[in-house]
Amino acid sequence: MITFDKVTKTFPNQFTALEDITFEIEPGEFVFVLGPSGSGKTTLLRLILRDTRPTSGRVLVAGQDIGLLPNKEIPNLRRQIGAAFQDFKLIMDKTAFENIALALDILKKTDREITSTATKLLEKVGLSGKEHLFPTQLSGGEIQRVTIARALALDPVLLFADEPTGNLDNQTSAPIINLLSDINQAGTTVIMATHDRDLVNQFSKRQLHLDQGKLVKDTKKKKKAKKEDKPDKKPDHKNTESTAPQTK
Amino acid sequence: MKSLNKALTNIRRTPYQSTAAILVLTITFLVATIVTYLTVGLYQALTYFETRPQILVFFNPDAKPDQIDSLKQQLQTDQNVTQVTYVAQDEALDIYRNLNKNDPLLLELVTADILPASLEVSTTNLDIIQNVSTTLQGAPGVDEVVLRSDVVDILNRWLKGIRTAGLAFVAVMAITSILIVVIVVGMKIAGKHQEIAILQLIGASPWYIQSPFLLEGALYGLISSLVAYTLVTTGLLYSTPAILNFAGEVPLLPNSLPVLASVAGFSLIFGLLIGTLGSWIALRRFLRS
Repeated sequence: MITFDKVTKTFPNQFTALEDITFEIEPGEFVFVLGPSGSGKTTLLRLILRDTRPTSGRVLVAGQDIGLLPNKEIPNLRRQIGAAFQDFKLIMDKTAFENIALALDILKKTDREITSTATKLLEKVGLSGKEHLFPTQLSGGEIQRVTIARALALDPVLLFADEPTGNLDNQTSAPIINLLSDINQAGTTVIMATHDRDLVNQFSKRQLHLDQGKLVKDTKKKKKAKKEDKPDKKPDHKNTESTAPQTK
Repeated sequence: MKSLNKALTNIRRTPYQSTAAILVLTITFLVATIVTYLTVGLYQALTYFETRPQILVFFNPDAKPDQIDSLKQQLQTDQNVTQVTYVAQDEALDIYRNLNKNDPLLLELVTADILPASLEVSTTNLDIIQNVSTTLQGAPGVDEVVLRSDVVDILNRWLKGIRTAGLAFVAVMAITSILIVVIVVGMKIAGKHQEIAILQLIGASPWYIQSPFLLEGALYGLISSLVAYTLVTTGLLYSTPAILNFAGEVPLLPNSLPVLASVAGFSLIFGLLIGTLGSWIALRRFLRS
């Protein structure tokens, strides 16, 4: 699904956001990208969306090196990747419904399809009855749900949620992660970037630990290593980490 | 259709900017339409005079018929002369009566005796008129030779002047209009830069993002050209009786249906081009930055 092959990203001001990052995410996986602010989580998302290019290395989405993608193909790539941004990136003078409808309009859906799909998505993220409210009239958790609903409107194969719980308390965060888990259960690959180690530890999902732009830990590799140590151990099929193929 | 709705919403939501753009563009198209009508009218008049006899040879009252016939035959053998028509005194009186049919006093005072017989001469081109007239000046029986080339020359100069000055003025106004559209649409793009960035991130195609702005510029052009055309054409039709009275038999009035339709088509296309070009420049300028 997603392959980072020795990716380094250095910005023009010589700040290196990511350094020699290599990992692979299989279709259907749920992966936490964990790291403090400035560790490179958002740069990871920007690279996947081809909002920026790697300084060196390759980023592959569905086997395609997106660094080589012609500019006219970028919108198509982005329509396959649902992104819930840390700063929401909602259009403030549009209601919750209109923000979701916008994504559907980009896909050239008819008005009837847009109304039906947007209503279903609002229901799915628990915002029925709040469709006509503007982002400023919604709470932080609700705004985050709108961004997730808009990302889902694209019917993406991959959902990247960048710090979706960053501004939320623990009580509000859990339903968001549960929502992402449900989306993952339905077959969508989910990557969630967060700095909240305690929150992540509540879930038995694969973790990629970033620190100062370096991949310092990949729990999948750890599991794989343990599995190789004990070849007779029966794999746990409920855990996405153990069912995923071997990474590089 | 959705792009058009978005463009109309953009126009509606910024009424002052939109009105300013439409007003400036309307002034441009007013000038362009007036210049077009003037050019067409003068061109029609010029064509009229060019196809009329350019030399009128008036004979003395006592000129003998054989003198007139001789001169007529001499002119007909000249390769530079395309047509020679003899107008007898009676025919001259008919023409005079026809021209002054609304003025009985003038009709009463004039009889065939005081109107001279004449020859109407058309030449192949205006340059040789002077040579032909010099030959005619000293011919027996000839009283006076009148040249119409002066009228054609004057008309030609007016036509060239109006066309050149008009085109120059319209060009300056067109550039101003394009810049106004660039500024107005550019301000709207700048005001929506965050929305545009979001649209780009969620996979909107360049056409999806740009088409409402392009259509907005096109609408400015179309609305302005339509307003200008309606104003000028209404003015023209309203002043038709006065123009007819002034021009007499000269077809100065450009009010035939093909002319009106052509000017309408030209105005709308010109409007569309100016508006779309302005938007396109704004998109290139502001989206790149």
